[in-house]
Amino acid sequence: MAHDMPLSAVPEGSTWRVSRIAAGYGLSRRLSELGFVGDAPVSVCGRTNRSIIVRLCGQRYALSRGIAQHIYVSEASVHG
Amino acid sequence: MDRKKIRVALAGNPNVGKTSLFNALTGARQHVGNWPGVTVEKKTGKCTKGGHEFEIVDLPGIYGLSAYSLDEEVARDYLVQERPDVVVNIVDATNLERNLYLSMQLLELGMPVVLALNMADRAEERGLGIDIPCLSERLGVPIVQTVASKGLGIDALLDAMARRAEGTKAAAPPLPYPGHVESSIASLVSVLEKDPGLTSSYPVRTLAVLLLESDPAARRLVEQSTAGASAQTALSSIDTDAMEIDIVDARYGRIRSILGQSCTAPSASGTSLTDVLDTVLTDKYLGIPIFLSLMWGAFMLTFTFAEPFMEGIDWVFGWLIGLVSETVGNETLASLLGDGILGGVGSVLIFVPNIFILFFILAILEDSGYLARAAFVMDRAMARLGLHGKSFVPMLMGFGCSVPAIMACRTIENRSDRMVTILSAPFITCGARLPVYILFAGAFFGAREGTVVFALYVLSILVAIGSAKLLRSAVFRGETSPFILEMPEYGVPTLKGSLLHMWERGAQYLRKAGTVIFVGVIAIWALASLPWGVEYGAADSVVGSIGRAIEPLVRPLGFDWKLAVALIFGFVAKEVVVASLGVLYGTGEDMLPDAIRADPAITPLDAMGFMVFSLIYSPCIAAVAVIKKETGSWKWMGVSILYSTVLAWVAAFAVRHIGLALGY
Repeated sequence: MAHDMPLSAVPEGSTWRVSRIAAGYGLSRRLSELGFVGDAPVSVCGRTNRSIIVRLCGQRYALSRGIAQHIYVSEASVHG
Repeated sequence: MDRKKIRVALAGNPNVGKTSLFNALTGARQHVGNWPGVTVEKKTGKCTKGGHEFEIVDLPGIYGLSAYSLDEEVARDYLVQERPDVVVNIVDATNLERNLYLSMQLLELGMPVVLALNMADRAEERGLGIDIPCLSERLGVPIVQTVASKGLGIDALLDAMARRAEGTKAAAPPLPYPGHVESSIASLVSVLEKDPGLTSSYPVRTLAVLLLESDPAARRLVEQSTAGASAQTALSSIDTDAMEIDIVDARYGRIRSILGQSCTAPSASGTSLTDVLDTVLTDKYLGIPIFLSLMWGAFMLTFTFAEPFMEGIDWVFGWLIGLVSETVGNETLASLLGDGILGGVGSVLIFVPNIFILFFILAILEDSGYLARAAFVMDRAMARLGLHGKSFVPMLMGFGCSVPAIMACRTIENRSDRMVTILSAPFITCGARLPVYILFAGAFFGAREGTVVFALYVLSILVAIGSAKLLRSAVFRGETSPFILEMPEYGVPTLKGSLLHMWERGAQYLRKAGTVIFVGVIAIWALASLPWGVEYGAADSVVGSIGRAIEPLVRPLGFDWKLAVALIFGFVAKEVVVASLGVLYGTGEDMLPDAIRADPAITPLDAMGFMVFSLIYSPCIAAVAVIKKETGSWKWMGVSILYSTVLAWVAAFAVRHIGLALGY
């Protein structure tokens, strides 16, 4: 997937789709259990300097920037 | 009538109403303990309906069964080893996609699942339509709708549980994985089947899938089996990293296809109340001021509401002590009952209103969903101090009592973060230390009493923060763990739920008052009365000898033997510092301020040093016991006692010499 970027860099508001998780065993497992899996729609609804709040399948999570850096997303329209 | 016993396990994600459901099912018939060998809380309970007796185990709240966290490992071990007759899987109807992930894993383990579809009312409000018969058929499990917080659907759930337990345990149809995953599964299955020991605990197909997911527990199990070596060979030719993601994707893919047939999404995803509240409450600039004013309000409410209750308790104990001295003829017995038990236990029970009200307010904040936001808002500030956002709640509870504060550290996943918080939280001045300040500040600082007490509160926060920074930089190095925090929907907390929550935590304090402190006050009374015939608490009693023996140690701080004795007994519980001074000065608590003010051995500067020492030195015995339990280490328990006591000595020494230098 060429045009993906980390969730930490995504502007607030619009909806994106998870393209891949670039992390080790523990973290990628934890994230996928929460629903950060291929094609899942995700949007950023708030941020502070250290963390962001995202919405995923109707549920909200606060993630540290560090974690958000491991989650790659691409534009929703690419996948329809 | 001989009832049929049915063993039930309750499984579900955190924040989906699992505790409410457990309470609704079992009522008061529950027992709280620990899972063997670990500090994860285990709740069990019973209920009966018709000819059935249900024994219900509340598994930890988990997102999956991958043995990634301790909670998950505990839950999976229980399911696999105990094979319950029914697994009630509670799911949040408003968030089915994520919740069903755990359901998928339960079904793969071959568990006899009954699905409790909770919060269906909220899903309906949001316009989410769920075709329950269709969902039930596609998943192959019975589904019961519940609103656990209101106790709705419980009867139907019990009926479904009974039917499920009696029904045939037909394994759910296996989840089909993509072709390349299936062929890897098949090659592993053929290897694993050679060791019959392996297949007795897990379905062999499930075990193969777990191996492909690089599951640590499954790998350990297989490595120890006779099939270990050949399984290793088979695995080495497979790219498990890629496989793992494909497996998770396949599960979610199946969930989406099931939901696509059985659910209708709301027409428009308009802005919800939660969105609006979060915009304000987690705002970059407003978040912290809002949080701090809420906390300030909580403390003001606590102390205002508690006041009349405290006066009431004080009055009752005063009356009881009077009654004892009038009616009990035997002088020794009267002294034991009055000076010892009633005086000691009364000085502890007086904090019960404070602690219960504080816990009640915290329960309301937690149940409404706000505390998760508080952790988020505070995370940045806490990170600067070397702490995790989740450390904030234990620290806050520390103002009530260190025991539940240390227990609350369980929610912090990362070990280093947890250890730092456990070891720093006891420095937060607990409710039990307040009477020491009130006594000494009131006796020596008159009108400036309030300022002095406030300064001690600030000092306690500074000491806790300083210790956290020190521990973080010297012992538990490394970044604070990355932060994933679920933010539940805001909701109106129910009175019953919040009261139960308050009771669970407050009862720990009551138990402490009933056991440790009760024994402690009797011990003090005995030491102050022995050898027989001495004046109660006099210098030639056992207590007096102990005090004079250690007096040289605290002499540089300006403390005499009575203060030394009070500090020793304060280890039993910090409340006992005041109670034992009452004993040693031979006065009631009303007269105690006058008595210590009149004692030429105590100057205002000594009083200040004594308050600082009381604030910092070793946590009480109950807190120390919990530190041992939660860290699982005698060493860290010892470190906690020694470090805090040395620090207290240094601080009190500094207070004295700075004070002397300033001419006090």
